[in-house]
Amino acid sequence: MDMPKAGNFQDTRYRICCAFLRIIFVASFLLIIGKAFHLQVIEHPVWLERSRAQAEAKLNVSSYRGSIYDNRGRLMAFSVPQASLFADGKYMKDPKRVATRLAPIIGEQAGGLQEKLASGRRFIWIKRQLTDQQAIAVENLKESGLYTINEYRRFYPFRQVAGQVLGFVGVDGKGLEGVERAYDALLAGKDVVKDCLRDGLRRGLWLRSSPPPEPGEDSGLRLTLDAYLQYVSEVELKKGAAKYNAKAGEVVIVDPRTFEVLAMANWPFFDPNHSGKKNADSWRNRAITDSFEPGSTFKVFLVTAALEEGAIKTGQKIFCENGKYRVARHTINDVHPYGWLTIPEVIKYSSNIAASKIALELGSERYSKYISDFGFGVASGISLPGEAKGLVRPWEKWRPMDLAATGFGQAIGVTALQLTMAIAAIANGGVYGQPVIAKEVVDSEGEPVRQFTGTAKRRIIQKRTAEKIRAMMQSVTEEGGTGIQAAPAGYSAAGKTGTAQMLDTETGRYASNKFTSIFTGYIPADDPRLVMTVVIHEPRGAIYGGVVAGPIFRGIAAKALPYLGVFPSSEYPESSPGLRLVSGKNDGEAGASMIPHSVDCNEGSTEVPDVIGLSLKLALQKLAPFGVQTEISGSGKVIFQQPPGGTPIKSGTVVELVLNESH
Amino acid sequence: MREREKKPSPEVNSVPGSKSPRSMRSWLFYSALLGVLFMLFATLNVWLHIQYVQDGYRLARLQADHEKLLAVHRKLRLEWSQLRDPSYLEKLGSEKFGLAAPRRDQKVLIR
Repeated sequence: MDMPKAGNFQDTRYRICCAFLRIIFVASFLLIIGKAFHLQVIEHPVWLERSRAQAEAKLNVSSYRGSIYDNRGRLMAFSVPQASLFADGKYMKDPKRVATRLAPIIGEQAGGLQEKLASGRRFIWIKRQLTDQQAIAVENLKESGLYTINEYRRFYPFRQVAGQVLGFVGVDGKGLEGVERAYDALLAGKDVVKDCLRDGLRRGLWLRSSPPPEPGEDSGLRLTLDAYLQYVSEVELKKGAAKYNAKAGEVVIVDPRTFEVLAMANWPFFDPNHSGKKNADSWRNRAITDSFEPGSTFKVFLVTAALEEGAIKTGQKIFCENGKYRVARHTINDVHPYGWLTIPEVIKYSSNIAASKIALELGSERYSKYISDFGFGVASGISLPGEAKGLVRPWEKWRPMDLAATGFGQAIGVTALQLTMAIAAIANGGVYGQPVIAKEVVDSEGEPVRQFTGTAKRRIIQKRTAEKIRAMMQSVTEEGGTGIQAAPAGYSAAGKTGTAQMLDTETGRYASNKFTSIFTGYIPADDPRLVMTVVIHEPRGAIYGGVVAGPIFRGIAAKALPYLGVFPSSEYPESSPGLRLVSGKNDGEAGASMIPHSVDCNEGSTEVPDVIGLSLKLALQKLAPFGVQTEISGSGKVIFQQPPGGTPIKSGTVVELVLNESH
Repeated sequence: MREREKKPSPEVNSVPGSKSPRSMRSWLFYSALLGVLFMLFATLNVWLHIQYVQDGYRLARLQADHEKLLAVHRKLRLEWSQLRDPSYLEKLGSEKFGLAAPRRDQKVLIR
C-alpha cells in the first residue's frame, strides 16, 4: 500500500515540476517574444536610426573627369587620383613636432604649418594633390591626426602642345578655360553615391546583392586637333617668332573639306599642367580672342566679291597711279609704285591703290555683304569660350576712305580663325562652313558614342570664281610674288601676304614701328588639304608677311603634308630642297604612328648673287632659288650683304641684308 | 510485477487533458529534438550570417584593391602618354641617341 502512495506522490511532484517548467519555459518565450516585439515593432524607428548612425555610411565614388584625345586617339588630357593631405586637430598631439617633420616633405614652412595644425579644427587642408613620393613619405611618418584622401588631378601629357586650346581645370576639377570649360558638363561626369556599412573600426563592408560601384569615366572627348600637326605648328611658330623677336604669334590650320580645326597654336606657349603659376594673358587663346587688321590678305576677299558681282573682270587693268592716290583728304600709298596692273597682278604685287579703286567701284553695301558672308564681324561658332566677333563697322557709316581702306584690310578687325575659315571657303570652291574643334563624344574605352560634324552653312561664291582666285593666290607664291617663301619645294601653294600697321593704344594712331605680319593660304593649291593662317605680332628686323610669316607657313606645310599622305609632285626636281622620304604609300593618310622628321634643304653648293642696290622684294626674289635664309634689318634698299655676292654658299646659309631708306 | 502488468495502459485510462509519464517523456523527447533542431538551424543561420558579413568585408577589401589597381593603371597610362610627347621624343632622339634630320642624299622618295 505504501508503494502506490510513494508513486502517487512522486508522480504528483513530477507533474508539478513539469507544469512549473512548462510555465517557466512558456513565460520565457513569451518574455522573449514580447521583448522582440517591443524592440522590432514599438521601438523599431529608434533602433533603426541608431543602427544606421553606427553602421551605415555613404560610399561616394567620384567618376573620373573624361579624357580628351586628339583626332588619332592620343591622350591630351587625363585625370589620375592623387592623395590630398588633411589634419584632424583633435588628434594632433604635438603640432610642433609634426610640422617640423612634415614641412620638408611637402615643401612648406614649418612655422606656418604648425600654426595650422595647432588650430584644433577638426578638418584642416594641409596640401592638396600631393605627388606619389610625397604621399608615401607622409604615410611613413605615421603621425596621428594626419590623413589623406584621394582627389583627381588633371594632367596634360603633351605639356604645352595646344595648351591654350585645351585650357585647364581648377583644383576642384571644374573646367576653367578652353575645351575644358566649353565641354565641362560633358567631361565632368557624375559621382555615384551608394549606401554601405562600416563597423566600429570604420572598416567598410558591402552587403548588397549588386556589385560595388567602381570609379570610371562617363564620357570623353575626341578633338579634331592633331597632336603632331599642332606640335609642328608650335615648333615652326616658335622658330619664326624667336627669329624676329616677335611679341606673339598664332597659327591656325583647318581642313577645308570638313571644316575641322587641325591645329591652333599660340606663342608664347602655355603649359596647363602649371596653370596656377601663369597669368591670364598666357592662357588666352589669341587665335580666337584677339582681332587684328588683316592688311593685304583682305584684298583676296575684295577681288572675290568684285569678280562675283561682275564689278571687275580678270583681264581688266587698273591704273595704280604710280604709287600715290588721294581719296578724300587722305593719300593711299603702294610699297612700290606701279602703273597699270591686271587683276591677278593686283593680288600678286598687292597694290593698295588698285584695291581702293576696286572697293570704291564695288560699293559699300555689296562689299559689306561679302564681308559678312565670309564670316567676318560675327563669331565663327567654334565651341570655345571667349571668341571675338572681330570689328566690322556697319556699311552705312562708311565714308569713302573707310571703304577704300577696308579694301586693303585696314579699318577692320578679324581673328586668325575667321581669316582661316574665309580662306577655307575659297579653297573648297566657295562654301563657308562652321569650324569644329570637337569631333566625337567617346565612352570610357575611347569608342565613339556621338559625332560632331562641321556644317557647311552657305555658298558664298561660285566655284569658277573660286578657281580664278586660286590662280591669283597661287601666283603670289610663285616667282615674283610677295609670298614666294611660303611654298615648300614640290608643292603648289595658294596664299596671300599681309603686313598691317598696328594701332598705338596710347595715341590712337597707327604706330610707325609696330606691325602685324600675316600669311594665309592653302596647300596644295589644286587639291587643298590644309588651309593655314600664320600671324606674327610686332616682329623686329623684318615686317613683311611674306618674309616673316611665309617661311613659317612653308615649314609647317613641308612637314604636315607628307604626314597626311600628300607627297611632293613628280615634277619635283631631284636637286630642289625639300622632303625626300616619308612612306611608300601615296594614297590615304600616312604616318599614323610615326613622326617624320625629314624636311631638309638643298645642299648643292653655288654662289650667292649680288643684291646690293635692290629693293627688299627684288633681293628676296633673287635669293629665293638658292634656298638661303635671310636676316634683314632696316628698310629701303640693300646697302650691305654678308656673305657678299659671288661667295660659294650652301642651301640653308644665312644671308644678312642691311637696308637703308636713303639709297 | 503482476500488478504492474495488470495496470491498464495510460492511453486507455488517462483522463482527457492529463498525460502519463511515458507520454510526458515522449513529449520531452520531441521537445528536445525540436530544440536541438532549432539550435542547429539557429547555429546554421548565425554561421551563414557570419559568412555573409565576412564576404561583405572581403568584397569591400577587393573593391579597395581594385580601386588602387585602377589608379596604378591610370598612372601608367599617363606615363605611357607622356613618353609619346613629340617634343620629348625629339629631344630624346637628338640628345640621347644623336639623331638628326637626314641630309638630302640620305633620303629616297619611294613612289
